[in-house]
Amino acid sequence: MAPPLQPVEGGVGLRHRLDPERPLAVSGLSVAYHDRPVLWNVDFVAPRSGLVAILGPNGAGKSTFLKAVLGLVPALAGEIRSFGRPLDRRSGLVAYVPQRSSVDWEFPITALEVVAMGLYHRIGWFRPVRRRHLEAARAQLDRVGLADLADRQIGQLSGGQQQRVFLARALAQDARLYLLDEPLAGIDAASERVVIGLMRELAAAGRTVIAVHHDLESVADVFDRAMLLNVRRIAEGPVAEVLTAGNLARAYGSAFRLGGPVAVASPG
Amino acid sequence: MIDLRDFLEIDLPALATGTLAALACGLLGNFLLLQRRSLLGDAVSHVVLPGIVIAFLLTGSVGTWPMMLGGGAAAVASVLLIDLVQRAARIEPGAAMGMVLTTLFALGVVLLEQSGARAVHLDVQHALMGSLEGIVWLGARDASDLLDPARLATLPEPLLRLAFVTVGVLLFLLLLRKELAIASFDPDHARSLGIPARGIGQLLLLASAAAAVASFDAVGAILTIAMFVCPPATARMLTDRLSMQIGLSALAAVLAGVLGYGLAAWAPLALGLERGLGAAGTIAVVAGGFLALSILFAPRYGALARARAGSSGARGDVGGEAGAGR
Repeated sequence: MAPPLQPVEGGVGLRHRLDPERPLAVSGLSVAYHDRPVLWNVDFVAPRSGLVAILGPNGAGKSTFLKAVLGLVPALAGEIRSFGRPLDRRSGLVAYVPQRSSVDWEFPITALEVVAMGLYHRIGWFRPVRRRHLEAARAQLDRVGLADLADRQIGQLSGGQQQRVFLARALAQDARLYLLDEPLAGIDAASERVVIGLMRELAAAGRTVIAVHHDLESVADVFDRAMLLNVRRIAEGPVAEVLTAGNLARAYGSAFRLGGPVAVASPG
Repeated sequence: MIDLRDFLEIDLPALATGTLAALACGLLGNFLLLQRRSLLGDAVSHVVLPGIVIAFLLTGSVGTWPMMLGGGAAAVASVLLIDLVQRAARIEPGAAMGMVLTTLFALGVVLLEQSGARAVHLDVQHALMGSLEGIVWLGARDASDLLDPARLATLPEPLLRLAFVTVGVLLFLLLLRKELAIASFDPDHARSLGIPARGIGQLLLLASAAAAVASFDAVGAILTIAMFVCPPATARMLTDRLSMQIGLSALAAVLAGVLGYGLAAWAPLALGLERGLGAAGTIAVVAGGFLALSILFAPRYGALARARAGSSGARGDVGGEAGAGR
């Protein structure tokens, strides 16, 4: 089960120092759209490093969880702390990759220019993107295997390549905590290998990656831990402990047919 | 044979005013178009009318500052009102905009007809179509006037107003280019980096309001939208690079201004037309003509090129996205 939420120290001396042990601590997070609750009283503590999947049925509030953590949607209640402090988006410590469907892929911009956007907070207001920024962006594009397509308009890339461009943009930000919304949805096998490989690389380098994921069958192959959501938090912990028949039934309804997930579930 | 003094006194001020109106609005229109908020440019250019009239009723002046403040306040009020209508009535953004902009514009027309504003060259005709022909440089003598700051200060106020606004628009785009780009392309990602995408959108709107107020004398409230949409939409068909799009939109705007004015000034004589042509109208027609040409003949995204390439690689209808609010 979930580790108990530890009280967050607010000591004067610690306030401005980063606490690397606690990339993200969420307590009592509730979000509603109009009168409909989307998330209700969710607690979550991210591990110091590793890969965490956010699982749950459609409309469970998975994407909203990431957005609320970043303050992109208003929370009714709850506290978000990142590295021991209230989350400050301008710090660049948290990188966010939205769902691929959330942007206009016909926008007149190249893959390289998109990746350079991961550097904008560091470049600063009013300053132009310079050659050295583009070179830094090109290095990240190379990491995801797309250096050859740097000057392509992004709409001309495949879905998987677009996802890799988004990941390169997050890598360029050089963050400590990565929040990825469906990074593996609808992408080709080659892109999937690249994305999973880089997520593992980040985890090995001591970063925490939290990704919304929809494919229960592949969770155990990719992620260390998981949080199962359906408006409320159903379960959180190591993948095998979360994906039990009982938890899945509570998240997806009792009519949920247990197929693949049973293989990875270890009841009790 | 064109008389130089006539040109300086009559043609140059009107030509420059019309061209700068197209340029200032067209440059900002790039980002309105990319954010699929072009209709908001339409709303803003309509609601500056009641703003200007109310500012006149309060101050008795149609000077630059009352106009700018009145138009700006009306633009802000209209955006809040559109948001309110959209939430309260739960209707789509396009319908909310259409409702608010027509109602406020009608209010402006009613106020205009009932007030004494007619006396000071504010009338309905002017509000609808502008009056480029009324913008003259009284006392212009010869070409040396163009290099004499003291003489240049006597240029008509609408032209000076537009010149300042155009410089402001250029600075705005130059300084905030990357912020405007990220806020337009991926607002959630922008906000995740602490870049206030909404605030930047509101600044864009205020800048559009300033451009609309300044263009009011030149092209009126109705034709301003052609300046906001046509040059950027023309450029959008021709390139996949943002900087190129902005450059091409500026080129299209300037060409539309010059050719449109030229058409109005000389075509009736040359063609023996019985009636004169309004330059604001011809500028808008030329701008629309450019858009039509680019929709048909753009090398990659034009209708002909796409028909030739089959339906593969087709992309969305760029020119028709004005109403697709977000």
